[in-house]
Amino acid sequence: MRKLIALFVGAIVCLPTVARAEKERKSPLTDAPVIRRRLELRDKRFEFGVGAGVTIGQDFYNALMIMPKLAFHFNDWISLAGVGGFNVTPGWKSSFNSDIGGALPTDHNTPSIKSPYADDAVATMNHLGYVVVGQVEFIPLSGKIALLSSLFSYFDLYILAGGGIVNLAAKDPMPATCSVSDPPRCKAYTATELTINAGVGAHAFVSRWAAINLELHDLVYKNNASGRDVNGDKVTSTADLEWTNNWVFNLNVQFFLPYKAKISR
Amino acid sequence: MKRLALGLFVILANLSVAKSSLAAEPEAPASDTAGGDKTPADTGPAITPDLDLSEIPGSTEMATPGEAKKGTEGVGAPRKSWEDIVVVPRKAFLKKHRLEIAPFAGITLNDPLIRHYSFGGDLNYYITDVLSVGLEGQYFIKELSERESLVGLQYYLVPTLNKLKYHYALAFGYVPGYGKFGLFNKWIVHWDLTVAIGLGMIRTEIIPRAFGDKAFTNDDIVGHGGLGVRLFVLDWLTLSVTFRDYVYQDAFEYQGRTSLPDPQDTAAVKKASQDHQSQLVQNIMMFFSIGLYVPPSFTYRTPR
Repeated sequence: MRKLIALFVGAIVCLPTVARAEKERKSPLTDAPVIRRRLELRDKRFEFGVGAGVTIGQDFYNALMIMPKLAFHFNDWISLAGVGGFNVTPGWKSSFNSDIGGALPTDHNTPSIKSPYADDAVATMNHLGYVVVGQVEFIPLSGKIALLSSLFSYFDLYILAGGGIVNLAAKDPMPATCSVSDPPRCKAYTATELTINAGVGAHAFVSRWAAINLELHDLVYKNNASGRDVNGDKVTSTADLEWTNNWVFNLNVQFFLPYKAKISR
Repeated sequence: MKRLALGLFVILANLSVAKSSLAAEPEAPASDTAGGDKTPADTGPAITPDLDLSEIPGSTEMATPGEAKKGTEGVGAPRKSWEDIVVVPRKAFLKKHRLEIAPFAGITLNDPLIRHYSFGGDLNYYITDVLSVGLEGQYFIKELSERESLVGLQYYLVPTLNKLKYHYALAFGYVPGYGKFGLFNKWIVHWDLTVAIGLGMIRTEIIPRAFGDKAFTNDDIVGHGGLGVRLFVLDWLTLSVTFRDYVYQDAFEYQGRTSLPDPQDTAAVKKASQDHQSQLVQNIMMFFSIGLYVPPSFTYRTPR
């Protein structure tokens, strides 16, 4: 009987304690951040630099652009940036442009029933003049990479979104053969208009204050790149404008200020 | 009675030991003033050589004065337990002597007139963790772009185009880079950078400019180079994005076809096309693929 009482008292006293101990025993890594002493290479730093950009998949004119960029990182995840692009190769024809020009008649003294003359056709094709866009950058991914097991670099990947303006230009917007009707039969679409800017980017840090910056932008704006009838009404007007996706890839060298980066716990 | 007293004494002693143990367990995260900001580098136990502090050289000089102060105060106070533990994850995925079966879908990027969707697969065997040899095969489905349809309306021209039928190749892969990144500083994702070169055959077919004209096919030798990124999801599963540039000499429909003695004689048209209308073609494509690995698991051969 006494043994039973002792066992009962022991059970009452010990069991809650054991249960509590089990409850409080958790992994020591429970609250640990996944990366400790992480270099916060962007947090509250300015970023500035310049690079080169190139259009991808344009119908008639490719563009090689000088692209300055200025950004401020509010923290390691979010930044606000402004990017400019100024076309330094307005005459860089695509192969499709050359094919069109090569297939069309060139001699204005030779009657052409329907096909435009090559120089007129090429004249109404527009090209990028300049681009100025703002963008918010969201940086969910950051890490490091080993190249050939010997070169180590910190990097980040981000998505960007914003808007801006794009300037479209042409050498000879309305050749004489285009103005035979009103609205004209053909006319290059030249304007400065709003554009949507979306894309992805990455920094590959070569030091704590310098990085290679890659960005792929999709500039979405209304355009009629050929300057010719699109909707079949035999004239060229704003009704022929269509939303177009215009890809720009740029590679910049960017510098960061302050010079030193913080390190997380 | 003595036994009862002895039993109660043992129980109480046990109880007191248990409470003492609990008191020594890590406290809930303490405030900074409790001196909880010690790091393995400044107060922790012996640092193993695995902790590569060389990656953050001069880290103490980078800390702000406030942080440095925090790191020295409260000696002897309870520490945050995770800061005393060195965690060096191993390479998350080993490929050596494993077979990768990777079905993929792709799209051509650089032709404004005709777009091709591709479906196929890679079969790669990894000789080492960074070198592979494999086979690649794909089938194409064409789609003419809006720009192609406008060529007739705007210029009264009909474009000369070839469509892709299928492609196969022997490919060699190399992994020059291996990295990891933190996703919102919550999860670590491992990835690698892959490059590949290959040599194979591609079959193309002309799209006749005139309806009703007979088409012919070309079998061209094609070389390709590729660059890709692969994310490791499970021990047997990866996701990849790859860009490949295919280069080959292709024959397009001869522009003077109607002047040939028999425009429907495909052999003669093909011969004339090869002689007069042959040009180097670059097809840049983007692929998404899922990698399935056999065997589905691996064992580490080196100690942690």
